[in-house]
Amino acid sequence: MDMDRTSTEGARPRVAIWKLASCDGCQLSLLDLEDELLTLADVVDLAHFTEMSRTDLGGPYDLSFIEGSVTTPRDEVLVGEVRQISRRLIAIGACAVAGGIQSLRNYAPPGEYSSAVYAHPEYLSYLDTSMPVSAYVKVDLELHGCPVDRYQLMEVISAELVSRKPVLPAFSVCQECKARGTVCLLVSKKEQCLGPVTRAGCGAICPASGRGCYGCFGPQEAANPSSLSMRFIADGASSLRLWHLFHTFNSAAPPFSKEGLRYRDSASSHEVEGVGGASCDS
Amino acid sequence: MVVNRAFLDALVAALLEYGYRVLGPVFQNGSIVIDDLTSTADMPVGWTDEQSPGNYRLCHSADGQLFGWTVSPASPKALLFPPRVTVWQRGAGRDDFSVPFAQPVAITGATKSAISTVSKPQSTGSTGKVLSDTELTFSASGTTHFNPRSNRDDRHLLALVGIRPCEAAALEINDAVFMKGSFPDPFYCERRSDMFLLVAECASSNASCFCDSMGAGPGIDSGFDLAVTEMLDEDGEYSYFLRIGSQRGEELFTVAVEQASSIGVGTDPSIEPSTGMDRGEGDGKDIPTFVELSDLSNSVSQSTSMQRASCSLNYSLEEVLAKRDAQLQHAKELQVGMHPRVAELLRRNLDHPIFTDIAGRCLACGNCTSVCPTCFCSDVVDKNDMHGAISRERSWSSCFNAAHSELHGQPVRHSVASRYRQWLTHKFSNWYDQFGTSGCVGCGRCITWCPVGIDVRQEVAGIASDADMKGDMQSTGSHGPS
Ligand code: SF4
Ligand code: SF4
Ligand code: SF4
Ligand code: SF4
Repeated sequence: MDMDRTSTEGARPRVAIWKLASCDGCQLSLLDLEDELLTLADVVDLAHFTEMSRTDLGGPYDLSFIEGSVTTPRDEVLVGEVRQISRRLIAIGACAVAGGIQSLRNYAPPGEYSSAVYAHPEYLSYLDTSMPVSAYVKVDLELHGCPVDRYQLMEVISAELVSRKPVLPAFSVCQECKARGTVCLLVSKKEQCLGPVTRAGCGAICPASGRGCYGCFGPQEAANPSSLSMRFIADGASSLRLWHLFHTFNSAAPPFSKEGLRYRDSASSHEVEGVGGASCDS
Repeated sequence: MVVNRAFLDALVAALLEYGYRVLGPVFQNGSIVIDDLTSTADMPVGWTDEQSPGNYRLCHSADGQLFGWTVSPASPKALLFPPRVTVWQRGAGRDDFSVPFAQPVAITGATKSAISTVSKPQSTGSTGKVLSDTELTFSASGTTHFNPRSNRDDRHLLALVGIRPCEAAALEINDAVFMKGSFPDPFYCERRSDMFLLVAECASSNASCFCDSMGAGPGIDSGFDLAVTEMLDEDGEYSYFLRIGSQRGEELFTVAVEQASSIGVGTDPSIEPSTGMDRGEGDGKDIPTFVELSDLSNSVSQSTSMQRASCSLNYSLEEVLAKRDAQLQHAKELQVGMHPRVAELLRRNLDHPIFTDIAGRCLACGNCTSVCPTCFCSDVVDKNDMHGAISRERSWSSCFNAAHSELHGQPVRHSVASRYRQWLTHKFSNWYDQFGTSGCVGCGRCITWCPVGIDVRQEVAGIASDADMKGDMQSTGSHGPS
């Protein structure tokens, strides 16, 4: 290993990975580092990472990455404990940052979703809402995305090694889209792309593969969803479509939450969604 | 002179032969992008575009027109000012410092002579570019000598073929920013000083174009090596009125004539661009006098099965010039212009309520600054990776980002209103104070590619009509949006 690295007092940061209500996709992004995984294991102590090893070196931890939303009384207790034993607490992924797809139940009467899914919902113990970690404890940093971007994970760890601030964009996906030379789908094909209101970080992978941004990184720092909705309406989007566009992985993030609700009540289940698309008709 | 499409191919072939990397509008995956081209067949042949605020579409019209579209979605800016570059880097060891961004030479604005430098092959980390052995000749002043078949790295020797007058004008604005100041950008200088420009004039305009009001199009009178004006003949074929704008344009033209004749496609090798050129700078009325129509109908009549590269058709110069004027006039008439006193108008209306109104519509997405051929803002960050390598990276930034105005941890421009004002006033007003020109060439990209179709002309017109009503250009109030 390179001895030149400017690590804090030579000690390797002690890292823990935690899980709340989630699909595990974000932790898997860490295991997905492939070539970099051995380096990662070299520069930090992976003290608690159940997905990788059952060995648990115990706390306290320099960096705690926490995945998933707070949906059960157990989660609520766990986030409190993790906060206590972690110098820095980093929420990773749309669930931990904005409630995740499961926060859709926040908008329905209590019990509606659980009785639709489970034969015996009476055995479940859960909170009325699915909320981000920040709704319960102080979070030092949030990594957006469903799932998180593995390069952003590495950036946070690399930054910690030299005690610098990680470089994480807060501007729109459009700027990454333009930087990679993609011709805008919204302007040239009337795709309902959420790029203008969504936070960068993914590298604009969806528009580059020819489909509009789903908004999985959540709202950008100056998101203006209502103006974008007006554009989509002009292109023929229905209320149902707009409600569904904004209420997905980040439906508990305030700008998206509010925008989805604006169209929910006028949405009728009979209408067609009016997905985008333009053809040359001249 | 008037040439045909096969002659344009001969020009492209000559550029390639000279070691240029030839780039231009290429039709790729259903859209127009700036990329490598090897002949005019790579261009958007037969495609036209429709552009309006927030809308763009391509339509095919089956004929052989090369330049039926107006401006491409992306400008050539990214070739000289890439979205992201590694300025310098150092690997995990201490001894592998490198500067991929530029050859490590000291250049200052005062250096007028050509600078030669040799760079060693550099194997860099994952983010860096790998440079090969390169012999570079460039000068900070931008006046280099045409040096065909040299050992230069042809990836740095760029020819832009088929760019528009507004894009050539934008390059001149970029020169003031990146090349002429106290701190020339080595990456830019290296590529720009030897850049060859073949500019295609516009015969039409889209609904977002306003180059005429910015003095940047639709015709071009200087700042090119070669310029073409596409014209439709009576027989339904397109031909190209070709003008030479520089010494190297003339040399290249001569080579293309030689090449066309050596591969036996029937060009009369006796054609010579005349000497004693008037380069046509100035008021635009004096078209270069070297334009001469040699009658080459004899060579055309010896046609083979393939299309011959030809340098003349049976037009009189007067006819050609009249046709060009009519086309340019047509393009101008299609345009809605920018307010003629925009700079002063904005300066006096910094607190206009329209900025708050715009902020309700603006997405602060930065598409406008990304597509603008003259926006030059970048963000520079130092990074380390897990291996211990460090690098300094520069990437595009935008005044629509909070981070753009961040000072000691807080952005100065919190509101979108203040960010929009920064964009509008910089392009159309403060640029004069900073660089002595407008920052806008009227290409219309910021209008077409704005997802919600915000039109700078219309917003300025809104301020202007208010000012007219008040009888002067002044608005009240002393504090703008922040
Ligand atoms: S395709 Fe989407 S992300 Fe890309 S520029 Fe257009 S709106 Fe933005
Ligand atoms: S401000 Fe708009 S019209 Fe002017 S040069 Fe930039 S993109 Fe083109
Ligand atoms: S400040 Fe804004 S308008 Fe001016 S060059 Fe930078 S990005 Fe473009
Ligand atoms: S003016 Fe248009 S393109 Fe520019 S930031 Fe606002 S919404 Fe985006």
